Formats: sequence, C-alpha cells, structure tokens
Amino acid sequence: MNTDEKILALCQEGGKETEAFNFIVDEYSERLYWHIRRMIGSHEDTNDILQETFIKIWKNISKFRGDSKVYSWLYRIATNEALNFLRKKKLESFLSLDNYEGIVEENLKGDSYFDGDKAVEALNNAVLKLPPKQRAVFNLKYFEEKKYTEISEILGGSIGSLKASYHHAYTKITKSLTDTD
Amino acid sequence: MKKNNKILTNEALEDPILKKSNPYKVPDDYFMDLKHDLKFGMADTNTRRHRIPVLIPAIAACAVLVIWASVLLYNPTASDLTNNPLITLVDEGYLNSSFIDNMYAEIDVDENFSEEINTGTLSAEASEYLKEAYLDNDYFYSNY
Repeated sequence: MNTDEKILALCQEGGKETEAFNFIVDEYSERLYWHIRRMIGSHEDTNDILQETFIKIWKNISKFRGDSKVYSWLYRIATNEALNFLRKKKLESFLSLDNYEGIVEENLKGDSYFDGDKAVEALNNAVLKLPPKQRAVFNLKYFEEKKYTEISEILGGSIGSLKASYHHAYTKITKSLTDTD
Repeated sequence: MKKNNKILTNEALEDPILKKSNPYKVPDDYFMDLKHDLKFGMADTNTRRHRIPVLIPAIAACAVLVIWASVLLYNPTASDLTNNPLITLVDEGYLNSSFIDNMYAEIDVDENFSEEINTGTLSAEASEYLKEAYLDNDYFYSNY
C-alpha cells in the first residue's frame, strides 16, 4: 500500500482524520510548498498560502472519499488558493494603479530567499509574468513533469486546452528571454 | 518524478546543478518547523473542536447560575420596593400593577384611583401613600 492509498484508507475509515492529515503533511507539505512557490515567487506569501491550503485540507479531510486521486485533490486545493491570491493581488494592483508585472519583478529581486543567476532570474521572472492559469500549467508540466492527464485532474479542462496553455506559456517565456538578451 | 523529489528537499538546494534550476531558498529548518506547526496546530484545533460539545452546556450552566445568583442577590420586594408607596398600594389591591409599568409614561392618577376615590373605599393610610406618590410624580413631571 503506497502513501496515497494509506491516506485514502484513513480518510474513509472515519475518526482517523488526524492520522491521515499527518501523513499528508509528511508526504506533501514540501511538494505543495514548491508548487505554490513557483506560482507566487515570494517565500512569505507562499507560506501564508500553504497554511491556508492545509486549513482547507483539514476542514475537508473527513469528506474526502477518493473521487479523485489524493495528490490531485491536494494540488487542486493548493492551486486554487494560489490562483485566488494572485487574483486578489492583481485586483489590488489594478486599484492602486500599480504595474502588476513590475511588482512581481521587484518582489523577486527583493526576495532574500531567491538566489539565482541572471538566466535563472530571467526565467523565473518570465514564468511569474504569465497569466495565472498558464503559469500553473507551465509549472506542473515543466518543473514537476506531470502528465497532461494528471494536470487535467488538478486544474480541470481538456488535455487539448492544457496543451494550448503550455504552448502559449512556452512561447511567451521564449520571447521574454530573447527580449532580455 | 525522482528528479522532482530531489529538488524538493533542502539538501538538494545545495546541489550546484539543481540549485540553478531551483533558485528559490527557504529559511533554515523551515520544513521541519512547518510540519511541526501544521501537525500541532491542527491537533490543537481538533482538541478545541472536541471540547465544543462539552463547552456549550458548561457555558449554559454558568449562565443559568449567574442569572439565578442575580435573582437571589437582587430581591426588589425585600429591599427598596417595600418602602415604595405605589408598591404598597398595588399589594393592598388599590392599584393595578400596570400603573407601575406606566410610571414613566403618562400617569393619570385620577383615573387610576377614580373608583376608590369615588367610592371612598381608600383607607387613610392608602390615601397618604397616594398623596405622596402623586406629589412625587408631580415633582417628577414639573422638571420637564
């Protein structure tokens, strides 16, 4: 029995939510952290979103009956939290008339927990400037090497639309990197 | 997937090749602290959640106790109200208790006492009380 099967069994058993939750924390907290971090950029914001993600997981753990795979359920919650955060940030920057892309770039430069050379910085800047959904697809495909079927379980949408999103993201990143050079 | 697992650990961040692909860093012991906080944070929530069914009746019992104690401690008939002429009039049946309720509304003493006054059934003592109350009320209203 692998960890996901164990988690599912504990969720279905009833009264074992704490045990299931602890398994999830051990197995997934780091993976979800990096998934969110690549979406958001800043460590502090990622930490907040991750906490929210785990609160949601905890609140819903007793209702999880294995309709989807454990990892896709968890990634979906984390992705939704990250997308909500980005939506809020975008709205705030719109209301304050700030340039959202500029803020993202400044945040990355000022982040003491970012340590990349120029090329990596340019790549991450380009990724962070993608529209949130494309960013999520790109991260899951490129960095986490998920299959489109798995990404579809996490984000929803057809495989065709996900491939199109990845293609758009890839084209934008390539253009951004070429322009930087 | 194996490659991902390598990227996802703190130790892997020290790898110069992987470091290039993952420029993001985390504070020292971040994941250890995070796991600890998440587990104990939720366990604490869980304990509190289990305490709720016990706490609600306990709070309700406390509220009942407080109300009961206040009723015991504040017994208006035993203290201030015995000296109130209006209460005495109510107790002796000369006055409807609604008169008290209307005390700060418009008081028409004549109407309230009309029967007793007209029939002369009001005792001398009650008349005194009435006079006192009447004057008090006059005084009360004269200030407005």
